[in-house]
Amino acid sequence: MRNIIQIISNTLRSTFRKKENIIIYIFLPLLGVLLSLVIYGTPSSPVLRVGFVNHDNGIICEDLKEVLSSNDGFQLSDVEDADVNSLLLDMSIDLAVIIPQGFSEGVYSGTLKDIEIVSLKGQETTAWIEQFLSNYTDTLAKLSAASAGDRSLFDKMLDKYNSSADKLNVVVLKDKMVGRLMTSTSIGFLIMFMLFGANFTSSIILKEKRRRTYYRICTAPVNSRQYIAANAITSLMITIIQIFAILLLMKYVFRIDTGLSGVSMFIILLMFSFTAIGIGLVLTAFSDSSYMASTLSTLVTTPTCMLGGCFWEVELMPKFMQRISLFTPQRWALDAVEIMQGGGTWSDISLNLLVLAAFALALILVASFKFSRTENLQKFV
Amino acid sequence: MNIVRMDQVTKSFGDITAVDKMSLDIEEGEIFGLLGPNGAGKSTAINMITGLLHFDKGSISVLGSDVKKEKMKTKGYIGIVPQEVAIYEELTSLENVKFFASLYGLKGNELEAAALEALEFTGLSENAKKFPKTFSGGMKRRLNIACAIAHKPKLIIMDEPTVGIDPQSRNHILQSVKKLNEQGSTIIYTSHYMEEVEEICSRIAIMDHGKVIALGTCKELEDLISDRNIVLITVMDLLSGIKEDDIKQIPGVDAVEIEENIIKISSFREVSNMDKIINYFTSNGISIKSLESKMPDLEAVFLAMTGRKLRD
Ligand SMILES: Nc1ncnc2c1ncn2[C@@H]1O[C@H](COP(=O)(O)OP(=O)(O)OP(=O)(O)O)[C@@H](O)[C@H]1O
Ligand SMILES: [Mg+2]
Repeated sequence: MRNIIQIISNTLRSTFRKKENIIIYIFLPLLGVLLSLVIYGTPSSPVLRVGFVNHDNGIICEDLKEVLSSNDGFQLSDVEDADVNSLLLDMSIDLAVIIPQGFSEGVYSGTLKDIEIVSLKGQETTAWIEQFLSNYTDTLAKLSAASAGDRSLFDKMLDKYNSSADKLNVVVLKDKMVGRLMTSTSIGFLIMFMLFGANFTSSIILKEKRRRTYYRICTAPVNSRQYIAANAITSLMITIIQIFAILLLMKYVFRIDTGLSGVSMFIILLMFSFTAIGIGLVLTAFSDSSYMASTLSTLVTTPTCMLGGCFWEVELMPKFMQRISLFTPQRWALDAVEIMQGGGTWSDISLNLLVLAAFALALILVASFKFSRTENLQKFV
Repeated sequence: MNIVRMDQVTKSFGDITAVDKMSLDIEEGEIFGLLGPNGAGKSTAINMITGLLHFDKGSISVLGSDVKKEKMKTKGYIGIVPQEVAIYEELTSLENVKFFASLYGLKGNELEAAALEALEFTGLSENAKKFPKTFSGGMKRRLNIACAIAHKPKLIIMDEPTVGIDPQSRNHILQSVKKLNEQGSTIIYTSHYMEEVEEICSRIAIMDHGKVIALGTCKELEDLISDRNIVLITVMDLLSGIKEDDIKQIPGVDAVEIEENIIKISSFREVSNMDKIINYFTSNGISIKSLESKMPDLEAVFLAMTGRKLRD
């Protein structure tokens, strides 16, 4: 344990004695992420194009349509049920809202029917229209209960409610609009950054190997497990600082809402960074030179990020690739974020966190085995 | 007690057998020289003693403890001066020494004192707070040594500690090796400089192809080839087109080494072949500048034993 602490403090001291390294190792990567958040974070069309499928045609539906279309966030168009899929596929609409038959009747009689939402893009597009609709139907249910079956009373109350609530709704939604800037693409970039960030471990170890201080450490009574633990912890400390900085900057400076609580985002990213550090260690362990390590890192990082859904929705890929993507930690991390954005609980993502932990453990074990067996001690370049 | 005992140790890298059934006993208190041409297996042997390389067969013990079974213990007995300088440029001399010594369990005041002592010993006291970036090659070499001795190891292994430094620093290092030895450390010393080994080592092993081919004091080794005679011929022309193999054909000649315009020939005393040797040069139109005959020295032993010279 003492050895581990000695190595950690020595690494930190020798790395950050040069003040510019604080910028290079901590703030430069941050800048990259923030840049990509700003660039990729803004959805190309801020207005959601909503296909409206009306099976009901009652008064309340008309009212809902009006409320929706009067909102700047939505661009409403009437579509037929049969066209929904093709419209979604050729991207002429972002999502479809399907009002079931007898919806209006249901409101009057107090037996509310669910409104269906169909989309290809996943949670972050549907989340706020879902929220909006659930607010709306909540109100309807309350009014219905209050009017106790009296239709004219209900209509009057709804009218009154709309005229007073209209502005409110708009305001709320506008806020939500800004808040929903964190698309899955930008989270994908964040995840990719964590992977590159974990290169800190490799870069430190590679540097130690190049200038033979690694060799000297190995001749001391330090085993490879201690050495790896020390480097992983150092890397983790730096990653934690970076995650904190990113989340704080996003929240307070850029006002980007991730759609999930800071704590859950932090935990998910932290679990992922364990894996990322594991990957860094394995690449270092299997490399005979710094050049090989950096080549391997590029060869591994980019394709697995593509496969894991960092750049586009996994659902857009063929089925078999979706299945392969389950072997990338990126997929599990992104999934966890998405589940939490959709209002999931800790138990909903416990599998994801477990899988990430298993990835990390396996990688670190492989790395430490390889480190203890390495024969190329002195000729490293 | 033997400080190092290697018994039938074999280590292969793929097809290459770097160390081949090597057995060696090094006694406490020795300055033990390890000589051998490039690729003989010296560094491999050292790395196995320090527990860095896994070996295939045989056993090694340091101070009676098996290096495989009690690796952390045996590592603690040893201080290694690597062939290449291994220090942190971003840390001061003192911080460097303290860090490495701390890995051997030293802490607090004891650590500080030991580090300062090691710097003092290597003549770097005044540079304790300075960064190695500004150091000369010789000073870096000395810091390299300081990092290996602060924890007062029983066994110090030095892998070519004097490569590429000025004579003054080299002298300083040789004196420190002797002093360390007097203070009770056993030393394993590899070098490409025969004079150094001759000067400081109590016993010498010559390695070639992964095996120890000769072992003994300097005198004992020289006696091995007391039946031989060394002829040094200096020729006028650097590129005279002399072929080693041609000279080896001459009866009595058992090894030849050509370095620039000096030809070193080891030949059996009882065969009188001087006229033939001279004839080889004159008949090839090569003019001889000077000719010298001398008693075998360590370098001659090396040449005779390995058929190769020490330096490439
Ligand atoms: N990590 C390795 N992988 C493969 N072969 C190796 C490795 N290390 C050493 N060898 C081979 O083992 C043999 C012995 O090498 P070693 O470094 O022990 O020689 P040496 O006596 O120290 O030479 P030098 O005087 O050049 O330092 C050489 O043929 C070398 O190429
Ligand atoms: Mg060597």
